[in-house]
Formats: sequence, C-alpha cells, structure tokens
Amino acid sequence: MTDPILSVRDLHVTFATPYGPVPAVRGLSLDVFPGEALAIVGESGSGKSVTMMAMLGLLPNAKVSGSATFRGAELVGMQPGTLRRIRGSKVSMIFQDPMTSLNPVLTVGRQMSLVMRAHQPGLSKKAAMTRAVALLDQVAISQPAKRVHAYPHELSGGMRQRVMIAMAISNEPEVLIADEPTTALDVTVQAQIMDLLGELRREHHLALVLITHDLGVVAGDADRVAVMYAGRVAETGDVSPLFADPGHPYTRGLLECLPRLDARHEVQAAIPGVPASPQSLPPGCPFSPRCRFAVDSCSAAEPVLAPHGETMIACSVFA
Amino acid sequence: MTATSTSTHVRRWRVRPPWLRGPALIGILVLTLWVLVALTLPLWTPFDPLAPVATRLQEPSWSHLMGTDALGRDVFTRALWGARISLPVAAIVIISSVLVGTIVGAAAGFFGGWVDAILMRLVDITMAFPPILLAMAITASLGPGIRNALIAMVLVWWPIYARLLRAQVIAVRQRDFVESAHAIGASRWLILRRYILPMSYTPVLVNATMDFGQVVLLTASLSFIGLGARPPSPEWGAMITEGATNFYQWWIAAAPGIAILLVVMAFNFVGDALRDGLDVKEQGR
Repeated sequence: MTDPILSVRDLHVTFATPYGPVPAVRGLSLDVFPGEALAIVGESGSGKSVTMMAMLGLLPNAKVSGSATFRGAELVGMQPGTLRRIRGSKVSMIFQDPMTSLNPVLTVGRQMSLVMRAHQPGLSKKAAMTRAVALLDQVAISQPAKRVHAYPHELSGGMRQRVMIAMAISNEPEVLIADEPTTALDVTVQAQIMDLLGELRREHHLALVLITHDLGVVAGDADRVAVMYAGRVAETGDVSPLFADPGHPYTRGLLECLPRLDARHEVQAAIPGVPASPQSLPPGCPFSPRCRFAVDSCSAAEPVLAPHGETMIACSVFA
Repeated sequence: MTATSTSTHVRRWRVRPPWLRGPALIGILVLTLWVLVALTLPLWTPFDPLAPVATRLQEPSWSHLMGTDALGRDVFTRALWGARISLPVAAIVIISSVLVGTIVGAAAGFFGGWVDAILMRLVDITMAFPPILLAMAITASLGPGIRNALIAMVLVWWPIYARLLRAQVIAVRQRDFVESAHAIGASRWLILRRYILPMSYTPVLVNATMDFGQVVLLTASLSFIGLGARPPSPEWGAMITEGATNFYQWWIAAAPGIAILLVVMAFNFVGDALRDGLDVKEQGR
C-alpha cells in the first residue's frame, strides 16, 4: 500500500465559548491515500467540516492539537504563511453553497486569475485568463470564453459550483476537499457535479475528500467511508463492506434511515433522540443514550476503534 | 398601419436613473454650477474680491448685485470667490478623512483583537467630543488659519469613516466567499483589497457625500469665530462675521449665507439619492 497523502492522528479541535470549552473534534485519526475518494459522513455538528478546516488553518479561533500531515509535513502549528501556500495549491477546499462562495464584485475570470497568481507569482494576467478559459471548459461550462467575463450573479447555482471546482483545481492540487458540494443544488445538478468530481479525480489523480451527510452520494462515488459521531470516527472501512455489513449501531441506524424503493414504510425510520452535543457529552460511548444495543458497560468507557468484519468500529458491544 | 401600431407597442419604456430625478437632479445641477463658476470666476464678475471697488455699504443694485461691504468691496464677487476656498477645503478634508478612516477601519475590522480594541478606543475618544468643539480646540492650539483648520477638521472627521468601515468589514469578513478565498490560499492582503473592501465601501461613499455639506458648514463656522480663514480672505464664514458687525446692512451676511445654503443643500440631496441608489443589500442572491 502506498503512503497516505494526508494523515490525521489524534486530532483535537476545541472552541472556547462563553459557556466553556466545546470539543468539536476529539481524537480523530484518518488517512487519505493518493487518488482515492474518501467520504466523511456524519450529522450536523459531528465535526466533519471542522476537522478539515482546522487542518488547513481556517479556524483561527479554535484550539487545535494532535497531528495532521500532508506528505509528511506537519500542518498543525505550521506558519500561517506556509500553510496558506499549501491551501489551494496542494490541498483545495470547496464549500456547500456556491451561491455565496464567489466574490460578487469580480468576474469569474478575474477571481480565478487572482487565485492562480496568488500561488504562481510569475504567471501573467493574460496567461492566467487563458488558463481560466481552459479550466472552465474542463468543468464543462459551455461558451467558456464568454462566461469567463461573467459576474457570479449571471450564473446558475450549478454553474457557480463548477466555477468553484475550476478555481479549486486551478493550481493542480493533490487533494480536493469538497464540503457538502451538492447540498445546495437541485438533484439533477447534484448528479452532474458528482460525475464531474469523479472525472477530475481520475484525470488528475486527485484525492477527493467528500464531506457529506448523504449516504447515496457515498455509495455511488466513494472508495472508503469514515462515519463520524460526536467528534470521533464511529466506523470506517471500504464502501461495500460497510454498506453490506455495518458494525456500529449508529451506521446501522443511518442505513436503516435511507428511504428505499423496494420496501413499504409506514413511517420513515429515524434514529431516536438528538445528536450528542459536544458541550455536554454523555459518559462513555457518546452514542449510548440513543443506542438500542447499549449495555451498562457502554457508559463506563469510551470505546476505541477495533476491527469488526472488514471495517473498524468504535463500539464495545459489537467489536 | 401595422408598422405604426407595432412601433407604438414596442416603444422603449425608459426610466431615468434615480440620480437624475427630483432633488438629486437639482443638487447635481447646483453643484455643477458652483464648480463651473469657481473654475471660471473672472467671466462672471469684473471686480477684484480683495480690493475696494465702490462706495462702502452700498445697497444691492444692478452694478453691485449684493451691494458692497464696509470696505467697499463687491459682496457678490466675494461670495463667488468663497467657493474657491470652501469647495477645495471640503474636498481635501473629506478625501483625507476617508483615507485615514479606511486604513484605520479596515485594520480594526480585519485584524480584530487588540488592534481593533486600541483603534476603536481612539475613535471613541475622538467622537466623545462635539466636532466643532474639538476642531476649535485643535485649531486654537495649532494657531488660526485655513490650513490648520483643515488639519483640525481631518482629525475630527476620520473616526466616522473608521467606525463605518470597520462595521462593514466585520460583516463582510464572515461571508462565505471570503472564507472560500481563504480556503483557496488567497493572502490576507489580497482578500482585504479585492474581496472585503469593495463590498464595504458603499456606506462610506454615501456618508462622505453627505458630509461634504457638513464640512463646508464646519469650515464656515471655524472661520466665523475667527479660527479658520482670516480677513480679508473671501471665505463665507469670515464674510458673515463682517456682516455681523454691520448688522443693518443685511446683504453682507446674506450673500455668503445663501452660498452656504445652496452648497450644503445640494450635497444633502445628492447624498440622499446616492444612499437610495446604492442601497442594494445583496447582489446575485
């Protein structure tokens, strides 16, 4: 097996709030290998976005400890200037809402060119523009030579997300982190964007980290999955064994909640209770209060990742 | 027949932009006129603003539209010349204040923390004084004169813009497109310059236009109490002072008074229209 390109070990991210410290990520470890698609799945507040943003130094107010390395270079505690040069050129990130993620006062081409020239100071404005047109073409925007002069408000949501993707790959990064890239889009457009991301991944040998809460997206487009709950990995493994034989009760619950075409549901299944709040975590396993398999020992100690079939789970009952 | 009816149907429905309607139009016309007159003064009046040209304290007449003052100078001429002092002074004060306010406000809003705390306390202290009082104190300590009055006014005026811009920068800084610019490795300077400032400038622009009139007033006020332009300079405030000593010769004070009124009113009209016209909260949403 090759070395991971991105490696996170025992990452902790804590926010200081007026109500005391809130641990959003609590000892998370995961690896991203070159060219693979890793999906990070979890509910809102499970810490999936926070992990990635903290790693890239995008959370200046959070306390980050542990380790996150890109090709062996430690990112946690790195000089902000050095980290900035890694962002966008080695590791790029795109966000959920393309409607608000583009600068409204600059044309698409101008902002793409600014981003390129921020990482390649030698690049001329003209060359950057030419490259912007080529990139827009690559993300399947029609009439790229015309659209490069468009302002964001002249483009649809799907097109704006394509522009975001074009911008994110403009400096040929090795890792692309997509934070719920299709949540704000129409279902048909979602599929197109996912196809595009898959294509780019193959063409550029790009490692893709998909942050999502949509298990459908995971099944179709990811190689591996990490299921997060309350700031930790609950279960991780390759997509097919995880879907076929989920080990962690939380993963099982999530899969049971998927609406199915081949079965009749009187009521849509749901996991009882509310997601654990990082401000007041239950003792032991954070999922135990909602878990139908929970036994007394679950609230004694927090379980660590252990093998279960072909996946790894953090559960003391099934591991 | 058909052609005529079609052409009436497709006739362009034109709306004049808001800045070309009502008070704004009047404001723009008045200001344009003032600027033109100030630039081409000798065309409009044959007299020297500083030299006695006729009998003292003459009433308004066709040869001296606003009469003459206590020294026999033509009041109308002097009122026109006043624009050559007040308009450039106001422009310099506003531009300098906007510059200083932009630097301070952007730094405070963008960096936050102790930079913000120190700069904003400085703003608080300055704004705690009534502007005229602080301007008086500063001018008095620097020594009277239009140049020192100008410096004093900039020192009094910049905090308004600093605070305005800081509030905007803080709001814009948290928007998604700024975060995604960070995520893609844009430097802080680039983000501040190309992403945050263009989105933050509207209120500063509007306020600067509205404040133009206020600065014209403040200049006149400082001169009126003898701290700004000194006699025999044909500054409007200084002229009103002279008018006050010749109380029954109403025209001496009325001419510069009308001049101030016209300029301040025009700037307020234009400022109002700018605010209405630029008040687009969210573009491309």
